[in-house]
Amino acid sequence: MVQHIVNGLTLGSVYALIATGYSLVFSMVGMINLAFGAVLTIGALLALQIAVEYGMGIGLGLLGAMLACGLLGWLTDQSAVEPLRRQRLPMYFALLSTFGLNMVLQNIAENVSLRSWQAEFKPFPAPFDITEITIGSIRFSNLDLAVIGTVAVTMVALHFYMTRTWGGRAVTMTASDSEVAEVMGVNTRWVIAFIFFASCALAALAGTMMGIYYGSVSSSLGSSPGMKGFIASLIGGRGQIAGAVLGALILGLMESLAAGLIGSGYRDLVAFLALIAMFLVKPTGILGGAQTR
Amino acid sequence: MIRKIISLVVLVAWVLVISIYSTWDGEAASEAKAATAAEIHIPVIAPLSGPLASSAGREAREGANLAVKLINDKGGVQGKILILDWFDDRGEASEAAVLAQKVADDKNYGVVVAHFSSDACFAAMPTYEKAGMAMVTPWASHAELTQRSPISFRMSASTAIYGRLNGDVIAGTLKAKKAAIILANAEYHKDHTKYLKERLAAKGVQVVREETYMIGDSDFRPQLTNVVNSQPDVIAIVGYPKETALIINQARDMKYKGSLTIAPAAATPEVINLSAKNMTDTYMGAGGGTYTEVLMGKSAANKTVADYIQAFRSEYKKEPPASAGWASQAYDVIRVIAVVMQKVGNDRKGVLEGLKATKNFEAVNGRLFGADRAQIPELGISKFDTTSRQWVTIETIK
Repeated sequence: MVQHIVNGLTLGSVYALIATGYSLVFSMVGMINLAFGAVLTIGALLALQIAVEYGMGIGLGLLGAMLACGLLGWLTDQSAVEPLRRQRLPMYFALLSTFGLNMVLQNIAENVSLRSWQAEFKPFPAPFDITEITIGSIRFSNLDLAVIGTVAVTMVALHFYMTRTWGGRAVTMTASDSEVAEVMGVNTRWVIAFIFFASCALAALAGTMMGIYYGSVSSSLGSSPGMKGFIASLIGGRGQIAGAVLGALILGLMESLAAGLIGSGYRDLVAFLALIAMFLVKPTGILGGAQTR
Repeated sequence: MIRKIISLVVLVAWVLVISIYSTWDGEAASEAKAATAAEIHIPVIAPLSGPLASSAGREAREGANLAVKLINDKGGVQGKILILDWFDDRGEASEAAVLAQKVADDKNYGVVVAHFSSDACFAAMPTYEKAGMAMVTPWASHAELTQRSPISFRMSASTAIYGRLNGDVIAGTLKAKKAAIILANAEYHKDHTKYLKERLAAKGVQVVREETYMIGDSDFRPQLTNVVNSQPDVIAIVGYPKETALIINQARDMKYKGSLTIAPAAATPEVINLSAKNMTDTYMGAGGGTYTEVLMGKSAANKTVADYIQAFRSEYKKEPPASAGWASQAYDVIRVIAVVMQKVGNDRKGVLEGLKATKNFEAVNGRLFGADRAQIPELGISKFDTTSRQWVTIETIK
C-alpha cells in the first residue's frame, strides 16, 4: 500500500505540470487548450531528438523542447484564440480549434516517428545511473526523486514568479479582470500570449520528464496524460494553480492505488469517477471558489 | 491588418503541413482501385498506423509486397497482375469490423488477408463468413481462431503451442518453483496465458501473482510492485513489444533479480533497442529454433527459407526480420493464396474451397495444413545475449 502511494506521487507530479498548464490558460481566457496532450508528445520527441540523436545533452534538449513548444503555444494563441477574443466571440470556437490542432499535431508526431525512427518508440536514457533507495519496505529510485524534485522546483519557481514579480502580478491582474488590468497599464494581449507560451513549455517539460521516467518516447506518449492532466485541473479547481497541483497528486495516488490494489483496468475508471464525484459534490473543484470565468 | 496576415499565414502553413503529411507515403492506406480485366486485387488489412505500425505494419508490407513482386515477375496469377489493396485497421477490433464490411461488399475481392490481432479477427470474422469470403491471417494466433468459423485460416502457430512452450521454459529450462505473469488485457495475451498456466500447473509450478495491464499503458510500477513483492523465480511477460520493453526496464529498475520470459510477439529489434542492457537472464520460447537461425542467415538448410532470405536481401538491401516473423508470414500467405487462385481464379467460393484443400504447402514458417495452424517443425528456446544483443538458441525441441 505504501509503495503504491510512493508510485502515485511520482505519477501525480507529472500530471501536476500538465494540469498547471491547463489552469494557467483557463485562468486567462476561460478556455481549455485541448492540444496539450499532443504538445506534450511533440515536446518529448524534440527533447529526445536534441538530447540523444544530436548528442547535445538533456539540458539543451529540455530547453530546446520548451522553447519550441512555447512558440507553438504562442502561435496557437495568435492564430486561434486572439482573433476570437478581439471579436468577443464565445471561447468554444477556440476550444474546437485546439481540438483540431490536437489531431493535427498527434498525426504529425505519428508520421514523424514512423518515418524517422522506423520504430514504434525510441529509448530515452536517463542522464544518470538509476539507483534504488530503500527505506524499510518502501522502494524508490533517484529517478523518482529527480522527477518529483524537478516538478517541485518548477512549481515553487512559478509561485515565486506569480507572487513576487511584476510580470506575475500582471498575470494575476489579467486573470482577475482584464479590463481593469488594461487600465492599470498592463498589456493583456502580451500577458495572454505569454501564458500560452508558458503553458506549452510546461507541457514540453512534462513530456520530457515522462520520456526520461519511462525510458522511452512514442508518438502516443501524451494521449492519456493529456486527458488526465485536464481531469486533474478540474478536480483541483478550474483556473487554480495550487488546485491543479493538488488535483494532480490526488489523481496520481488514486490511479496508482487502483491499479495496484484492484487492477490496471480500473486506472482510467477511477479518474473519471473522481471527476464525476467532484462535479456532483463541488463543481468548481477542491480549491475552486467564487473566482471562476 | 498585420495580425490578420499572420493568422492567414499560419493557417496556410497548417493546411500545407496537413496536405504534405497526408500524401507523403505513396503506400498509405488507400481506397481500392477498380479492378481491370488484367488485374487481381487482394485486400490486405494491417496496422498501418498507430502503435503497431512501425513493427507489424512495416513488416507486413515488406513481406506481402515481396511475395507479390516475385509472383508478378513470373507472370502473375492466371496471366493477371496481382495487386494488393492496403487498408489500415490500426490493429483495433473496432476499425477491423468497419473495414471488414467495406471489403466484403466489394465483389472484386475473392479473399481477404487480415488482421494482425486476434481481437480484430474475431470482430471481423462474422462479416466475412456472411459474405462467404475466406479470411487468412498471417499473424493472429489465438488457439480458437480457426475453430470459430469455417472461413478462417492462419499462418502463425497457435498460442496453445507458444503458451505451453513458455511453460516449458519456466518449468524445464529455468526449473522455477514460483512464477508470476504480467499480461495485456487482450485476446491473444489471455489465450497465451491460459495455456501457459495449464503447463505450469502440470509441471507443479505455482503461479504466485497474475497482473494485467491495458495495451498502451506506460507505467507498470503498480503491477510490478505486487509482482516483485510476491517473490517469484520468474516473471512471464505476455505482451506486445513496447509494453514488454517497458516492463523489462521497470522490473530491473525495481531491482528484480530473477529470470524473465517474453512472448514471441515481443521479439522485435525495438525491444532490444530499448531494453537490451536489462535483458540479462531473459528467455523466450518460439517456433523456429533452426528456422530462426536460418532466417537470420546462419544456415541455408531449407530452400524455401533460403530463397526468401535471398529475395528479401535483394529487394530491401537488409536482412529479413527473424524472430517475430511477421514479414515472412505475410509472404507465405500471399504465396499460398496465389497458388490457390492459379487453379480457381478470384472466385470466393473457389478460393475458400481451395484453401481448405491445401496440404503440405512449403511455407517459410513451416507447412500450412488446410484450415488450421502451420506446423512448426521445431520449437526453440532462446536466451538473450546482452553482449552480442541477439537471441541465442539454447535448446531445440523437435
